[in-house]
Amino acid sequence: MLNQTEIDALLLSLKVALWAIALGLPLAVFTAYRMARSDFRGKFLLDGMLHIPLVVPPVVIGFLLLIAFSHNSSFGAWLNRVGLNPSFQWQGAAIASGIMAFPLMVRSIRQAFEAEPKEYGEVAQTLGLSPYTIFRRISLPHALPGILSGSVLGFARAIGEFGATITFVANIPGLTQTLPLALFQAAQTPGGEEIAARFALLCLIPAIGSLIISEWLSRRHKLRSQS
Amino acid sequence: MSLSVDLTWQLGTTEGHASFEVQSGITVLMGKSGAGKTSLARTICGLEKANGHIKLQGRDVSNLSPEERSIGLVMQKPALFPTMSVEENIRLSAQLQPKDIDQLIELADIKHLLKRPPQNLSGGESKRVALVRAIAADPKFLILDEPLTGLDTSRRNAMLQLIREINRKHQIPMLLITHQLEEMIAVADNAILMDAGRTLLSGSLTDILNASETCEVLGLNSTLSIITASAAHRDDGLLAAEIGGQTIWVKDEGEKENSALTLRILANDVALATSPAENTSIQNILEAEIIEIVQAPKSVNVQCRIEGSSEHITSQITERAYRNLTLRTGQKIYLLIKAVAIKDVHNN
Repeated sequence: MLNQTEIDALLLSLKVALWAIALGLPLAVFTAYRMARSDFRGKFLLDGMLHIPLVVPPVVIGFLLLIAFSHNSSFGAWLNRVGLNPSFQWQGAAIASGIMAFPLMVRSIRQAFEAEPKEYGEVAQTLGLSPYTIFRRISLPHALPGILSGSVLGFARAIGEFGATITFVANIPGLTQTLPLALFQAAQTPGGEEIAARFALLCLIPAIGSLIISEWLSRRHKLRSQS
Repeated sequence: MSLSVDLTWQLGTTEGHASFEVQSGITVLMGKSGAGKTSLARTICGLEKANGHIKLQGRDVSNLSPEERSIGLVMQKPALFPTMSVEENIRLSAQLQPKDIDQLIELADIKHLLKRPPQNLSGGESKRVALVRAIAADPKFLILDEPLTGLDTSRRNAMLQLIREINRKHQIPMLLITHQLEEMIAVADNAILMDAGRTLLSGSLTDILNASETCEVLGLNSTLSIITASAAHRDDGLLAAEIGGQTIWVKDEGEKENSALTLRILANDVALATSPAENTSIQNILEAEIIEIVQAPKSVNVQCRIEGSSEHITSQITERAYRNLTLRTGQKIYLLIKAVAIKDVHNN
């Protein structure tokens, strides 16, 4: 059975990961659609920037968030004034996890949009459909398995997020201590190996489950594309 | 004027140029594969960039986006949306009244397909659904890109019949793109000839078929004449058709009596005589009047009007024959055509 610390960490991790995906998904879908369908000035640059969380150490992302939201920055100061500063809050963990998961979601969703034959959009245009209707009624349903797959991958990445989270919101039990952070703390404590192992197991279950679901959705999408 | 086009656009490494006007009815855009026909269609629809002007019913649509142009396109690949049923495909962009759409569905014989996903349709069914979907969006002009590709003979004829019916009932001017000349001429009123990214000729179907450029571009041995006649009766494996009070015998291929026949005759299958030939195996000896004589490098094309009708038949003869007969315009002449040389284009 799980103890209260484990339950708290698991529930917080799930909350953080779900919020990370809920906040990041609409933007990821929009970005992926634009990247898949449009040619615009600076596309190459944007593509590179989108991949930054994948290639720089997560600590760097956490540090940049810390600076951006700090009391010394005008943005952070303004958030403080309106009582919305996410630093050292679970909301901050969701932002950090969302940023780290974002490129994975965009990549997966973009591939789904790119897999749609361009004739669909072209014919839809000649049928008089607006770009928004084409997106909502044709492209979005077609890319749905890819969007789900990207969301699941992003969820797995968010639930396992460590470096950016600990740097941005620290490791406060019950407030910002997600499963990886709790595992880290247990592993750092002398004699805490057994506790750490239980947290490790807890981390593995949602992550592996997400990957299995993602793979299943991806295969289903491939089968549908071939039919 | 339904559609007026004067465009230049990038066609691979060369520049395409199209200049023509299309009236109501059905116009066929002819040219060999790779001539730039599909690219031109895409350009007219606004799917590819171009310089110049496109006027639809007098209104310049060149700067409008594809969805604002009211120019429908049925692509060679039907591109039915796979996440919707056939009915949803049709109703998604429908602008016609529901009862008109229902009639259209009946006409195209696709009512039994409405609940099916497009993946479960045959090639012919998909093309019919794509055509209905395009018409339901109520375009002011419709382009059909190779609508018969991939269909067998009976389905090709059914598709042509449907195109003609829809054109007649909905009065939508259509541009049919094809490299299969003979099937399209059965339904076309006008034609445009295209080669190497350029439109060469446009006009009535008869004029285009009689033009020497058409033979060169399409690789035909001889120019074609298309005439319409009315099937009358059968005799000894042949079908007698009436044209201008004269009888023309063609192969009996099961056409219904009193039905309209669209007959295709190659110019080099038509011989000329200045007096009625007697004791000949040739079944068709038609009285006609010479309308025009055009001298080609190695032959002479003599265009004749069949007496009692406005139909024209072109005969291609040698220069020697032309000199011996001393032909002139306005002269009465007899056209000698073997019955087996005449083809009903609906029964290819």
